Amino acid sequence: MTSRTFELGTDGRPRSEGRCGERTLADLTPSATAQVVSVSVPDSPAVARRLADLGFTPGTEVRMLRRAPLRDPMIYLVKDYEICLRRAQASCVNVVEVDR
Amino acid sequence: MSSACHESGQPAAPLTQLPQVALVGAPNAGKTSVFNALTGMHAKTGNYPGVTVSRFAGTCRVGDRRFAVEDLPGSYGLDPVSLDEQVLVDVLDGNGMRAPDALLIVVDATTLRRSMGFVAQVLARGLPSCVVLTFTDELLRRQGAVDVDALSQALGVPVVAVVGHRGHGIAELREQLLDWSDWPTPVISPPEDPGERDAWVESVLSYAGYGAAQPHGRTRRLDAVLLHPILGTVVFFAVMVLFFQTVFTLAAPLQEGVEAFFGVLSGWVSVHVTNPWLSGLLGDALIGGVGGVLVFLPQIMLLFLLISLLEGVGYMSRAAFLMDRVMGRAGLEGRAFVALLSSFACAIPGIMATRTLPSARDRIATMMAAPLMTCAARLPVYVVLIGLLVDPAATFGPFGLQGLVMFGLYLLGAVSAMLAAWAFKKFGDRRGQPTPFYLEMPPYRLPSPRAVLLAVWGAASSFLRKCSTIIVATTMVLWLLLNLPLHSTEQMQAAGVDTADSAAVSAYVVDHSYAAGVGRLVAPVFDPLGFDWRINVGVLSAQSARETFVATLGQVAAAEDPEDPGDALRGMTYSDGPRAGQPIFTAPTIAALLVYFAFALQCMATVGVIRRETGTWRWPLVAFGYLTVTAWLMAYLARTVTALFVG
Amino acid sequence: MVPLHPQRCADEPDLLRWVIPADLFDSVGVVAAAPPPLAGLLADGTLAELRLEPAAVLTRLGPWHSWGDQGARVRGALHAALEETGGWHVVPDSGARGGDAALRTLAQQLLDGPVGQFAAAHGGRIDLVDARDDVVTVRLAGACNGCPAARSTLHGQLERRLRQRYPALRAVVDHAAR
Repeated sequence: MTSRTFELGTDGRPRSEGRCGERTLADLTPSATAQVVSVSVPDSPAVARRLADLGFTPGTEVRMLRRAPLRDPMIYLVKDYEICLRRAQASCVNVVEVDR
Repeated sequence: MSSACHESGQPAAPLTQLPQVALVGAPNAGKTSVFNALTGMHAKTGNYPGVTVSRFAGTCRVGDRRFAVEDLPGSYGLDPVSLDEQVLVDVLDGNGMRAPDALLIVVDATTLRRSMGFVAQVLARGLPSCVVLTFTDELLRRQGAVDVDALSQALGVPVVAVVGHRGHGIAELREQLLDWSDWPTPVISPPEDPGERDAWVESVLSYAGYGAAQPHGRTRRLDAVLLHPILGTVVFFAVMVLFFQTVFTLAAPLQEGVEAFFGVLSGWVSVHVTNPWLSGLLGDALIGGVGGVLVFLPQIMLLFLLISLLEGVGYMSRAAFLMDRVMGRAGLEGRAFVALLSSFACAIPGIMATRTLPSARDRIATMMAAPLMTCAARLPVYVVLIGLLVDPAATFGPFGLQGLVMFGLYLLGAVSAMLAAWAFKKFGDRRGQPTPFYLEMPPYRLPSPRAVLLAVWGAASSFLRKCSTIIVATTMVLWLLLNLPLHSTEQMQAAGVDTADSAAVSAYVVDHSYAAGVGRLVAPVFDPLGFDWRINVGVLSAQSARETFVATLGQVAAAEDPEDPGDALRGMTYSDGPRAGQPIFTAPTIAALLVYFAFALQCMATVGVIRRETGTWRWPLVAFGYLTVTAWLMAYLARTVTALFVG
Repeated sequence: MVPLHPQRCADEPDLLRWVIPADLFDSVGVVAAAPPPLAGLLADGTLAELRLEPAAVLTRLGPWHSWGDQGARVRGALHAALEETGGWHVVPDSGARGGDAALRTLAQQLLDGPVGQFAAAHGGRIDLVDARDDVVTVRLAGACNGCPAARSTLHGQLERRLRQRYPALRAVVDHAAR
């Protein structure tokens, strides 16, 4: 099986290549705020869409709230509610940090 | 409520002819309380055909019309990432079953911005739909706002605000159900393109004057403590100790009460039924079997009381968050922790607690692991066997050796349970992607007493209805095996048995029973473990419930006091075969027995409850098979290793 | 993308009101020219009419078409066209003020819809008397008339909802109080 990355970009349409050098949700420190740029999940369009269903759509602001004692999973505030993601999923959400 | 929803005694149309209304929504949207408010106490649980996904269905009566109401698995979207969500999509598509006629889309008003994407996807299916808006009271309390009529106009479908736990809006929702076939549908279905969908959501919410709820102050303050890396962990362990103590300790007197009651009952039978065989069948087998079912009830009810309280308050998600990394090692997620912890008390409630896990694969893996956790029934067996194995005075450092061995057995159970879960998860995940993990952290809320009681009632009644027959039947069969064929007093006297001595009589009966025949038959299998046929009979009788091993072995060993057979056992020797005359209970044999009990699935109630929770015989058989084989192999290993040390 | 969603218009199945942000356009009237994708739909007869109203675009479907088939196309074209508001040319309504007609339509819709239902549920009725210079005049009848609580509730509801759709609204006045 070839490895493909399914990505939903800012224009909402799948893009074929991921952008490098971007930060992901997993890189945020507690109480940092960032804006979602894209969601890219290797090999799984369903998981990419699910992350979008959970509120991680391009342009959405996300705030990292806290990490679990062993640094994984993490809780984020997105679209007015709190959700816990594991590092594996959080690193699929590319973001740019927003200064507050 | 005047137009209460319930099934009445009058003849009614078959369920399949009623309009089918299905509830869809995200896991924390309040679907279950809306479902309960519509169907009352008459929900039926079952399984979707061929999958281990529970199905909740009931009926709702409005005036003289009835509706079949179904609570579909919760989901955040309609692109399935788990088996449960596949079921949801299959039901909506009418794939392999009848599609619902109308949908109630249950949406938490405080998470409306996120939920609108789900609403869009459901509306795009084109079924008559009505949006049920929950937690509007909380939205207002937290300075949020939404105009229900404007939302309905913008969506193009009816919208009803409901406060599930108070019953507000339920009457209106019922009225609305009457018109389901005339519900307006969106003139154009909501966009599928993610960008257009976001624009649609934005526009609808602004038209409905939606104001997001302010962050929940109480939740923020509580989480600062409860999710704190150190404080939170301390609180978590304190909660779990309390939890375990309640299920384990508080249930004990209740269980003793149940046992005592049935003891009195069977005593009454043995006094009043003169035929000894009939009195045994009624007193020991039937009443004992029913008692064997009911004895689990206190634990199940307590466990579900605690689980639904913790779940309702919102702590369960926090506990799962704290334990996720640890459980992740076994391929499970944080929520499985509670199920496995409960299994320390008893695997039955533990397996039933897997209902809180959202993924079918996780549920299976946890169910396969749960019987390995050291349950209360293993305790008396361990006590007797460790008493035979280890000198009470022996110490290892500051610790008594007996206690250490006991601790080691608990550890063995926990570690092998985690390994088993890991193996089953890995095996189950061969195909396809592992389910992604995400968990909503709902604000702390006060659970409604009604919801808590319904959860307890549901668990207890489904256990009684679905498991009682299996448990009673196996108890009866085992009793018959252990007591047939019949022996007349003359026969026994001819064999030199003192018929006045009930212990000698029961020893004779067991010795010459079909079970003994089976025990001798399986002797070659257990011979490498050092078990003789009498242990085999004990092991076989323990197949219905482990704790009977102690009593049965006592009977077999013809001990004066069957409840404390230690002394008699110590003196027991092989009666035949190459090892005739040697003592049976040597260190290697006892070690083998202990390990055998640690692994083997000797509990028909567990088999029954796995059958009930998975809806198929496949999983109980898999569990029984793999645990029995593992038990034999590990017991053999234990015997060999111990023999090396003891010499 | 510009936030927008479609809503039915009472009694006119071929007419669809696309709610858009109120500050996007300041003119009201028939759209004479629109950016290409939308203009194409007008040209090929998919759409028969295109109108701008306060906080809404009205689209009338051409004959032999249905919203089920064409809705997604129209939505896509609208999204594209709304990205370039400079390309829209609107012929303002004739008469004193184009806005008055739109305000009248909006107010009538509310009275036919949720606000009217609310009044009816409480045994009353609320009629539109006039809409002029960004002021709406109504008359309360039935049980509402004379009941101060009903009066303020109805008044508040109508005004709040109307202002959402027509931000320039100055006031809702009661005919009897004039």
